[in-house]
Amino acid sequence: MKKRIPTYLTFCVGKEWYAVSTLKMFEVVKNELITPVPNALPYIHGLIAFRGNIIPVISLNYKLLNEKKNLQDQTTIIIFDALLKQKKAFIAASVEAVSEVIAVSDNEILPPVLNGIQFNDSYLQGIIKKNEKYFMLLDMNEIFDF
Amino acid sequence: MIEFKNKFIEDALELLFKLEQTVLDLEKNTSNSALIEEVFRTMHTLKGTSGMYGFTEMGTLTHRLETIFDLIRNGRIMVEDKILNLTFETIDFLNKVLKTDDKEPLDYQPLYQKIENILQLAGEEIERNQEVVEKIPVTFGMQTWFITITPFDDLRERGIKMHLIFDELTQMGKNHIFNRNLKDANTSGLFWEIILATEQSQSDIEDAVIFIEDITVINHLAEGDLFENALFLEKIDDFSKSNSIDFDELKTFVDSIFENEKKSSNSDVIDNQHIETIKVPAARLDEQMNLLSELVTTKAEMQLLVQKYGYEHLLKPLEQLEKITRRFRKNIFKIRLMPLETLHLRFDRLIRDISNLLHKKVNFVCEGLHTELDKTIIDSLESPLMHLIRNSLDHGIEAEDIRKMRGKNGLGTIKLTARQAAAYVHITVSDDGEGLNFTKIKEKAISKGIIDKNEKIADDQLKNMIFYSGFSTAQTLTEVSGRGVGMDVVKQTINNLHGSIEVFSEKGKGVRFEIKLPLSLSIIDTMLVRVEQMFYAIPISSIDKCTEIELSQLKQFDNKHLIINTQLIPYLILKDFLRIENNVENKPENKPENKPENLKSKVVIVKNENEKTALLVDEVIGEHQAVLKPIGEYFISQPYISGASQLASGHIALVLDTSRFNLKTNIHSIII
Repeated sequence: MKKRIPTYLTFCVGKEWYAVSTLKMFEVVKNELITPVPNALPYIHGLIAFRGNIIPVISLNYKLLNEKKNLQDQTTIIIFDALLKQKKAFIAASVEAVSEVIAVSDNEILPPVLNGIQFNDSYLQGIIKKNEKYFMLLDMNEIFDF
Repeated sequence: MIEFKNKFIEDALELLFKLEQTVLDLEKNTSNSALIEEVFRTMHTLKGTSGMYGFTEMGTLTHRLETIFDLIRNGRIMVEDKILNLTFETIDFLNKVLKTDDKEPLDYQPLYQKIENILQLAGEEIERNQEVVEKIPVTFGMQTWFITITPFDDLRERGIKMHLIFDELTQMGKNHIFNRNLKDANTSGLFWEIILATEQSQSDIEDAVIFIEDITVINHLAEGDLFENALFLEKIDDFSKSNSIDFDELKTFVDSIFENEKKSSNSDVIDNQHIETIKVPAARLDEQMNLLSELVTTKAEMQLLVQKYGYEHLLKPLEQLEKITRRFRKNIFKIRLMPLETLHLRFDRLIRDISNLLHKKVNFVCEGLHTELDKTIIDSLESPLMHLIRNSLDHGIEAEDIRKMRGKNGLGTIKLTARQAAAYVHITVSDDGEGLNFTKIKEKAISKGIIDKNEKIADDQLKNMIFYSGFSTAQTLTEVSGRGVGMDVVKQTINNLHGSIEVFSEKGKGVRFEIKLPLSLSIIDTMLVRVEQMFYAIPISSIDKCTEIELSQLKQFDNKHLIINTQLIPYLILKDFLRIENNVENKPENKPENKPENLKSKVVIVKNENEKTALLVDEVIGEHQAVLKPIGEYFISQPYISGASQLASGHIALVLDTSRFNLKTNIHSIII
């Protein structure tokens, strides 16, 4: 049987390119109404309604670059089927825009290079090299953890 | 296999629950043989199934305990406290076994030892290492047996006179003997099938056929006298015409007779006890709830569109849709409701254990336990109610001699009542004990620094101090009050359920706790308010009233209180309290809010116990039936947001738990 090549969604935050596995991704929505929550943790973008649930949106800009400025530009929301504190939960992440979905075989993933990154080491799962471009592969469960 | 195992665990827990209930009943009436029989049978079932799923140790333990009840059943020993205590201990232990992982094996030895002690006292040797075998219960009363005798040719040579054996058997009770003759058989072809209804035991029958035991098979057919059953008599006629009887077939037939009888008698006498039920994983119901709330939101969205663009021909079907969703919602909520009765057993057991421990006898009265509540609420109610009952028993009800001295009935009464009124359920726990000790409460409050030594304080205010954390006036820390939760946790739990609790006390006459709870957690009636661009929903149950004030009134007293109808009420400007930093950063144009011409403000006054707080909002929009959704773990540092609810417009309103505002303001008078 032919093995299916895993796919990854790529997007840009700041000047860097990132990728996440599509395995635990639910869907990508745009221009949802995001409701802010008063006195919330700084990386919480707000809440959105999704399939009868109300789920938190985490700002990837904040988590990866520690910047909070352009929240209203982060209109694209990726919804994940995540594990938070060992419990399954829908969690969303907001970014400015998503790019394409790429197929990457395991040998195209390099081990993470940890110096020079601004965020928590554990977020980085590896580096994808594809078409002469580099993508930082993120572990979303680590990013959602608090 | 795993799912079979889980099914077994579920079943076994149910059996244990039933067992506990029966043993509690038995304790009240130790000579009731029907109850003893019931205990025995439940254990027997438990033993039988546990072996099949690898819970062999559990089977052995149950088997040994069963031995004791077998002796009781046979009248050889009496039901004693010692045995009942051991039984409860075993039930608790088995519950633990079923609920823990197999990884940490629990120690069965102490229980084995205790069982053995009892058996030795009864002068019986435990059948050590005996396999757990299915044995015909040796019960009293009529039993019907099925006996097959298949003789060999040498019957005559052995000098056995069959008519003597038949004589002996027929003298034991009602019987029917089928003389069979199978011509094509290798043997003489003669054999007998006997149906016998007798009060004598299996060993008595065995004695009767002792000389031909090698050719005799004795099978237990049913309890009671089958010859009294018309259906069975008809069947006997059928059997006479046939060549032989297949025991399994006969047994199935007999069982079906009983099954039918049971069904019809049940439907005659107690109709509602045997309602057919389906067990459904809670997650599926939650999914159903989610779908429903999506439906409700979509419907509301559609109504908005219709209103906006005026598709008049859509109004009628929309109205119909509205009705259907309403019914749908009502139905789903009903599915999640359970009667409070499910907690009854836990309370009975608690009363029993504690009254034994404290040597206090009480009369525990329950009323209205058929009242239904959401399962989640029932589950979270267990520990607060247990705590209140425990408190009443431990601190409220006086010792018997003191009660008599005070001219009361020596037997104290604890009463638990429940009733439904509109969308709320009222539960009261009351006792006829000595009531709250206000002198003690005051001392304690002073030592805790909650009130000042010289402060004059009314009993009415003092009584609410028992809900403060770390507040216990227990004279000695007994084993009873040492475990479990404090009154502050009780109050917190009730608050979390969007309910309220109040205490009433009358010196020398007793204490009464009144709890008011919403029927369901997932939907609450709220008042929708707006603060800047945000919508907040405040539960109607906590609202005292909505009003309007002049902004100048804010400075009328001390910048912290408003005077409304001569009452001094602390206020909170929601805009400042619920600050949204993003908005402030991104939309500086929002900042100059208090324009001088804006002289009035809407106010929602919320109450918690007798404490009121005034909340200043920008707009009071109106009532909103909120389908409450959790917002997850990221927001635990904001306990005043208890959830969120989607509005028809697609906006999300945050649901405020206003009792958390009060906690902030009422402990050391008012801090804003």
